[in-house]
Amino acid sequence: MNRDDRDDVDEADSVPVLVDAARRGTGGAMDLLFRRFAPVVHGVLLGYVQKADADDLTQQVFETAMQRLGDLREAAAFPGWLLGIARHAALDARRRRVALTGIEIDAVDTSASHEDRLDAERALAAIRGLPEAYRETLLLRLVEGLTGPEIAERTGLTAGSVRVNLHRGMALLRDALAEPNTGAGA
Amino acid sequence: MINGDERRRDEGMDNDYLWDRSGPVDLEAARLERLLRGHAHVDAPRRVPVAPPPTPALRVRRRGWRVAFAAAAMVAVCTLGVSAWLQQRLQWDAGEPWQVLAQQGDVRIDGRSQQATALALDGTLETGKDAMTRLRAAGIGEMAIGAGSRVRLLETRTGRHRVQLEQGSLWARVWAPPGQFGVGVAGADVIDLGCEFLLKVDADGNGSLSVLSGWVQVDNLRREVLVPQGTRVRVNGDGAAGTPQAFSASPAFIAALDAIDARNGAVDPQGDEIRRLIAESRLPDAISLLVLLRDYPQLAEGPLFERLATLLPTPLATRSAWRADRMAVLNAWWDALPYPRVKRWWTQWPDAFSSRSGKMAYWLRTQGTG
Repeated sequence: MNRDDRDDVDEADSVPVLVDAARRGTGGAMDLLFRRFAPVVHGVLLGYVQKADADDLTQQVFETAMQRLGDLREAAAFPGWLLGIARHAALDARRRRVALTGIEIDAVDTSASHEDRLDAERALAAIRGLPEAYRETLLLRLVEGLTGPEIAERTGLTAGSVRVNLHRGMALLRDALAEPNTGAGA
Repeated sequence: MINGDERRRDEGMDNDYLWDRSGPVDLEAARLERLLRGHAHVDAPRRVPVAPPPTPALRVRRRGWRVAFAAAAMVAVCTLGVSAWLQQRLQWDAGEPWQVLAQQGDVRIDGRSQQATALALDGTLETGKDAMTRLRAAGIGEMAIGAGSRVRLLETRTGRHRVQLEQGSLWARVWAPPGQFGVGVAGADVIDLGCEFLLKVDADGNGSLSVLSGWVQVDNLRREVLVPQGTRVRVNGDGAAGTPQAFSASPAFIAALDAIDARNGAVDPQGDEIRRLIAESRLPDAISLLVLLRDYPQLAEGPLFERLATLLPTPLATRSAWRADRMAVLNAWWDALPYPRVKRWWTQWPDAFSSRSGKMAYWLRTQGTG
């Protein structure tokens, strides 16, 4: 019986299983890894660059990761390894200073009111001003909509670290938003 | 150990809404979720890269470099080869005889009627009726002598080769930097500037020079004339050289030009000779008008100036410019002439190869007017 290579893997498969399958060139495994980790990569990138650029860089990060998958020694280390590639790509993009897409302001959620869009930009700017550990965890939770356990699973952090980062980051964020001059440009 | 700020922040660690959305809703967190959800990753399919795998791509790049390197090496080798060949072509030991390539009829060298193989320095070559001979002009070209001619080899060494045509016809084809090859006649020196030409003179030194490709310079006591391909110039034993005229010039144009030359340009700028000349002039005749204006600038007072400005249009060709800087206007016209540049002698590269004997014999039999 002929089986499509997508049938070789399942959404319930663990990350190491998917990574090993992807190393063998299984397209289905690569797609599942992308679907599972794209929000995490996107959230990390959002800490450095605008949304439009983060969208584009997410694809690039996965292209790079799939090409270098042979360099990854331990399949279980995939989440941390992938986020390292994402941070490197984000820093590289930010060093170039010019927005990849030429879009300077995040043009998202056109249904939102003008005030909501301003508040969103202000909140995003405040999150970007936080230390990296808090920044990334909050972006994954508040922007990408992942829960704490999901963040822990997909970043390689322990659940305890994620819980601490969420609560300390949220407290810092409340303080930052309470300051009257905190804005998008901060 | 944690400080006071961290302890205060950790007081909310039991916020289960922030952890997994269970428990009482954290209004601030929920509000931020609502505001920021538009920035989230949009579920999109993974973009499959269309680029080839890295290893083959590397191979392609390496192959590209190899091709580029090989091409550069080939160009370098060709350049060195051409350079060596040119040096070899131009190199000539002082006084080395010129090789006779072919001869027919009565050909004598230094009065001896025998099968000659070379023309030595100071040697004289003579051809009888219906005779013809062809020689290698050192290493830089070929020379053919027509019937009833007498030629002497005056000088030959690297960079300078001179013969004297005492009478008869001489055809030469040279591919070398300007000035290396020259022919003396009674009233002038004919200097090759990278070209093919035909020179015919009688025993008094009267005759003509026809340029078949490139440029030739004619020097005499009075004028220095540059003669381009497709034109002919009269040479006189008394040293007076004419004005170049196109092979295709009309008899009326040639007659008017000869009349002006005969009076050394001392004609009325508005007179009949000038008007006849202008009436018969076409673009190939522009070289004639330009040389007249250069040598007899007073003719610019008449309609000759406007006619040349029409044939060779250039923004500089105005009377005010002419009065302010005549040489600038002449140079602009000179650059507008439809001939190869004198300094680009190498562009006449076909002259580097042997001529067909039949074509050469044809030139020697004709008056060299194309």
